[in-house]
Amino acid sequence: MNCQLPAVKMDKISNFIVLMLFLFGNSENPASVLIQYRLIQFDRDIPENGKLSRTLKNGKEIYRKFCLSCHQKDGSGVPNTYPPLIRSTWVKGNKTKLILVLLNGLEGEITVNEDYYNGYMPKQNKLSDKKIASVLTFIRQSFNNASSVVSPKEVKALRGK
Amino acid sequence: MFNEEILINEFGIYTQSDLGYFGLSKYSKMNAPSFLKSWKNWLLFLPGYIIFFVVCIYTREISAQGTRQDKSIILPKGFTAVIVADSIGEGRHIAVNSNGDIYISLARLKNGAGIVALRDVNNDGKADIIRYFGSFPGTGIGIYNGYLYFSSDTTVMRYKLIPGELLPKLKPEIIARGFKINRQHGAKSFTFDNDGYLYVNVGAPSNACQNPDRTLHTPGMNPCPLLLEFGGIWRFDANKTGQDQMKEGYRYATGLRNCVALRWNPVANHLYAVQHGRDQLHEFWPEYYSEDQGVNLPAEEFFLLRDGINCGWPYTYYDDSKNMKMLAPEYGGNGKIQDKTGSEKPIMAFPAHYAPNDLLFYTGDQFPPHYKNGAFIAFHGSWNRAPQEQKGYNVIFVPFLNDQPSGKWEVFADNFAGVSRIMSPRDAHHRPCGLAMGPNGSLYVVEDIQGRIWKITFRQ
Repeated sequence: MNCQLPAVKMDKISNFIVLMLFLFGNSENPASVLIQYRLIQFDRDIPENGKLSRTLKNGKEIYRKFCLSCHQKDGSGVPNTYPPLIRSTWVKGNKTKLILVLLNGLEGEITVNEDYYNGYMPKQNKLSDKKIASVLTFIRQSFNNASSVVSPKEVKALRGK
Repeated sequence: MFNEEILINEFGIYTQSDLGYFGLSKYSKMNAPSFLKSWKNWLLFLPGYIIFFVVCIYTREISAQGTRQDKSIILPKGFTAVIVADSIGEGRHIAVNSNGDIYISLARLKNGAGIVALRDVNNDGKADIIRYFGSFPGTGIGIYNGYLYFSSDTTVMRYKLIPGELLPKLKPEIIARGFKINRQHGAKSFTFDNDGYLYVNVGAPSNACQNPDRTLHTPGMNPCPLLLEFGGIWRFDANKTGQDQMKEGYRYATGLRNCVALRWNPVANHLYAVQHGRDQLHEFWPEYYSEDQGVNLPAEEFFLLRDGINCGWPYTYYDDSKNMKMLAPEYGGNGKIQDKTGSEKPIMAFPAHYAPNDLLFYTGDQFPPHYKNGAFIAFHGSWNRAPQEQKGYNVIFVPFLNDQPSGKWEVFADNFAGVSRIMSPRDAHHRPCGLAMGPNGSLYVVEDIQGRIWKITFRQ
């Protein structure tokens, strides 16, 4: 997956592939095609070029270990319980809020992309600043998001808040 | 011809030679506006209009038939399903009155209400009257002694039913309260026995009693303090108002993580429940459990609940490949150590993470004798089998003899998800959640994604 593509371009490519899969594939509905495509996206290797791709690789590994079981492989979450990360304003938006969700956990009703969720997210404050930064960078640049990287410094500054 | 006049009509742009080709060369001298000015010329399009309307009406007819007879779910031979209603809200549990009126609890308020009432006036299976009432969202719903009982996540209440009326008296009475707000497993599903008792599921606000919950390598609290107020079935007087969980409530069964599927079997005269087994063995204890083991363990347990029983949560889980209760890794287990506390074994086990959300004993006469007094179980479907394929999303049947299963479980209704492979719960179109039996023995299924209700009947 080339995570450094700008969001708009990424959307256009994925929409085209989804359309082709829908028209010529043998699946029943566009949603499942979309998810199949996103799974392909997750399984694709991150190319070896420089520091950012190393961060993304580490982030993906942490995602697999700590996040995937609830937020799912394609970042689609679980309806009513665990919110999606795909094009999520929580993921794409304000870094501070996002970092604090990982450091302090989250419980109770929230709204994500106009849908409601009521679940429990454990705090992940045992993970190092570097690990939290890399997994946040990974989710901000995957699942059809294309937001800026999160640095370990930004995580460190918010510990205990 | 190089200087053809171009005609524009409804079908696009035609040249004079095209008109000749269609046998309409007499119009070729007219230009487009004058061609359309004469109303007689419009009659040329009449056959087209007629065909268009016929096709419209025909497709409408097909889709109307589609709502009456539903082919999307797969049933055993001889059974048919009708969609009672669609998009009613996030339907959780369902109760059907002796006159056929249907009541459904909603996980989230819709039209400002937490209960939906439906009535089929012309007896075609489809709901003709749909009314919303009640101020709280919730899960439990049931009819007992002329009252409609309903539970939010903190209170069990009842509404007095008015004979002949669809809506009950709108001011509820509180029956049981004092249940603490609970972000995980908050559903207070309930059932009634034959002797005037109400049994309420009080799920544990936890996965395996870790503190903090759901984290890597965190041991379980020992003893687990949550079991005092949660993780069991509490019994109340079904007819007494204002009871408090910790004062008047009686802890009938403990060691149960969450039993949304809870039902009194009126024939065997026992309480039964199907438990949501614990999650994430692999994620929190990767050194003991492979990804495959995390996906396939632990089994969902089907219990016969006798008074005072302990089913072992959070100290144990059930491994159906070994037929053994195992010690949980939060309490020193490693996937190989058997539980020695003697916690109750299930009467049957189902694949891991299927998420049993309702249980119904079929006491009707409409279905073939095989189904008599057996158990239907609605599986909401897994999320905890990721990254592998998600499963469940069906209604299964367990044949019964007296108080025990008399054969293997079988899938009864399938394809609720509507996709061949469910890689994420979001792929599923429907997730079955509630079951009820109608007065003439039809089986009702409600689901909470689109809010669809099916009525399943048997015909020879």
